Amino acid sequence: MPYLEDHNAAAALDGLEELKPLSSEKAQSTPTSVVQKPRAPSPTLRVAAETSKWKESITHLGRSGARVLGLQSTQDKRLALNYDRNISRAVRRRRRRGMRTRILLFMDEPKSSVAASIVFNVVVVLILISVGTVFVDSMPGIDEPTQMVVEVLEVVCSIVFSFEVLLRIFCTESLISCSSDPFMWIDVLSVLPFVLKYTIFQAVGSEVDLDFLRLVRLLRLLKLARHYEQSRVLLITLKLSAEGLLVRGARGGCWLRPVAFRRRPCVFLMTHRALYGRCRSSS
Amino acid sequence: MMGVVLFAGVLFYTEKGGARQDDFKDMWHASWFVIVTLSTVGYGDVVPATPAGQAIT
Repeated sequence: MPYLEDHNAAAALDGLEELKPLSSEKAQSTPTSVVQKPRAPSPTLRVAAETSKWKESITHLGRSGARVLGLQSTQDKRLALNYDRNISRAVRRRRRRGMRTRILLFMDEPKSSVAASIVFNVVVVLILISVGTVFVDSMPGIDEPTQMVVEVLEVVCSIVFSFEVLLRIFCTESLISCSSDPFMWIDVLSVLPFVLKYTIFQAVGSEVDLDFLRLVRLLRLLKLARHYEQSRVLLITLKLSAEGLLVRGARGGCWLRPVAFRRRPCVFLMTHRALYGRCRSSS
Repeated sequence: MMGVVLFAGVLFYTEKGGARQDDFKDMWHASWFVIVTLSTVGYGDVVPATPAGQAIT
């Protein structure tokens, strides 16, 4: 397809001078694709097309190629790029969102694609499995094969989760925003014992309290909360109701700040006044 | 459900060396205790004995 387009461009350039004056007759006599060309290419594009006679094809120039050829105006570039639909489409897509954003979308939005939804479901199942292993692990009398199975499952889950954490760290906008995200902390915390166990402790050869580390595995259950909106709603509700409970305003602002400096409109009083009017001498 | 599992885990590991260790034999017993407590039924067949466990409860 690209070569045909190239031929079109070149033919259009050749035929342009002769075609212009007597276009109607010529068009009927030679009903080729030349006539269908709607717009005359600009001078820079003409240069590009002429060079492409000797060289490969105009279709294979990307953005860098356009720069080399001196296609400066965006219209020229678009024309040149649109010779090959696939190239231009890829360029446009890449411009729209970078790879990191795409990975984040893949991980955070299960509805973004089929693969994402599959991966999401697998991750949820792995989380449940790894919590189940804690339960099975805690039972006093387990035989050897069960122990082995549990261990293998545990290692698999941990590898998947640590990979996910690495991806998230790689994809984050800034490390600061990432470190202030509680879900990120949960992710890191729930993976940390595994990483420690198989790197440092293995090297040192020490048996530190594994019971506590096992407890940390339960934190993986909180990873589920990241994916379900209800939990986020619950968090927001907790925050807001905490503000109501601890009258001083838990949301935003420092606890130690004196009350006098805090002039925030009180929702309860506002609604009360709206309903019953201002009543100062009530008490 | 998350709360039940998390509290059960915490109680299980705090009660491990406690006086009534048999009550919290495994995670199942711990979650049984948490469910009974959270639903305000309180059978009393499983009881935390260590101070830490009592504080959590």
